Amino acid sequence: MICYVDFSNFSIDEFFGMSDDSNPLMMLIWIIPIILFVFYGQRIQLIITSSDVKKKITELEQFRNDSRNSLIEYIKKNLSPKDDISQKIDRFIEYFTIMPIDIDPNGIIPKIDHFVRSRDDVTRKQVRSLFTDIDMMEVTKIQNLLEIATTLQLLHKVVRHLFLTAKKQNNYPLILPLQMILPMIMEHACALNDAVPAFKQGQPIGDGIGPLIVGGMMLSTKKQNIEIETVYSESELEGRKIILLKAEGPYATVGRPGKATEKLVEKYKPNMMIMIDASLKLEGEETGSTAQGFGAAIGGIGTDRFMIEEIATKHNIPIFSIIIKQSINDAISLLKKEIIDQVDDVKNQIHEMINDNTSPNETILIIGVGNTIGVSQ
Amino acid sequence: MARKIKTVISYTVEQCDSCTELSKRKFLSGDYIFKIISKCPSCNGEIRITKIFGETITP
Repeated sequence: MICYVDFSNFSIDEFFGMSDDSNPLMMLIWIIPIILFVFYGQRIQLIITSSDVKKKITELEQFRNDSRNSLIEYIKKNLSPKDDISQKIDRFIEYFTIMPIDIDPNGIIPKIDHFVRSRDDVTRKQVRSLFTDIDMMEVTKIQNLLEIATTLQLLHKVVRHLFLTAKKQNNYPLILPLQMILPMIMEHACALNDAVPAFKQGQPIGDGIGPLIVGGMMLSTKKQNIEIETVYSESELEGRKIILLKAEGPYATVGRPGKATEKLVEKYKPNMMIMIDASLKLEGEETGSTAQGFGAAIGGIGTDRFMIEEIATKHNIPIFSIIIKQSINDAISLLKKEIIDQVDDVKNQIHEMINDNTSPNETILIIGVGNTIGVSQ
Repeated sequence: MARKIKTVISYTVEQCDSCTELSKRKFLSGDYIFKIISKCPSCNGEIRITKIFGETITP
């Protein structure tokens, strides 16, 4: 059956109840939402935002559980722990570091360095104590995997805390900064989650490009330990003495470049320092693009950078740096072809830098900064 | 935001120190960059791993 409706006498004013003979029901339809939004607007926004944040928290929880389970599974499958390690791993994951008081910041760097190194040393010892026989490669791999699980645990806990506090207090403005920062947190968490396979298999990561370049220059030289998990060697280039420094590979470590640089500068009194490191690219920049600059190219908590800057300033040594740009995800997951293909170009840049800025018989210290997992020397 | 599913295949590149002959294969557990693998069959030089990298395959 076909029905025909006559729209020829349809009036918008009448439909919305705005004409003189207004419909009280239509007026209510207008007024109720206004009242609702005035008094409950924030709560409605809170409910809408909450569902999005909740999804992200579930994702973070999944990442945390995956990284923990993956670590335990790796240990059980590949190593021979003395007894059940699940409880101990859970305890390690909960470890925290209280940073020194900074009301008086004078002398804070040695304190931070002491706390961070102590934590590092204790974790290494405790990881070793879990097994009757374990080599250095596996110890450093487990330390890195623990670091990933701990960071994911922390991210999950902090985001959940902020969300629950906002919910508990029905405080919409409190959830706004969380909603704004959450995409960045999720990017970081995804990168950490993606990094697990590379660390489990001992594959080189994007951050290892600095040690890879310096490691290649060290190949036919005599390597010596200068600090924990840090090696150096002497080489020669067009009449100049070259001192090469990097973390000891193929272990999953960044070494201790700060302390090692202090020792090498005191020993060799170099005329110039060159640092090679991976650097986070800005949006729009190409992965693997390189740039030259001045100053200490080194990330981390800041203690190594402080030591290098301090010793370079004391001896009036210029610091040149070359950075290889990449995203956070590229930096901690398996090395990309675009990044490793830059090795020869960076080596040429180092040679040019040395030729342009030093004379024969001078000494140059070259530091390859980064995690040297899967990269020997 | 749904995450894109991507597969990363890891490769190892071996190169002879003397004759610079190259070969590319899939990554094997225990590989690391600058590891000496064997003697070169053509020139008796040392074959070393020079590259390990990942290539992404997006379905």
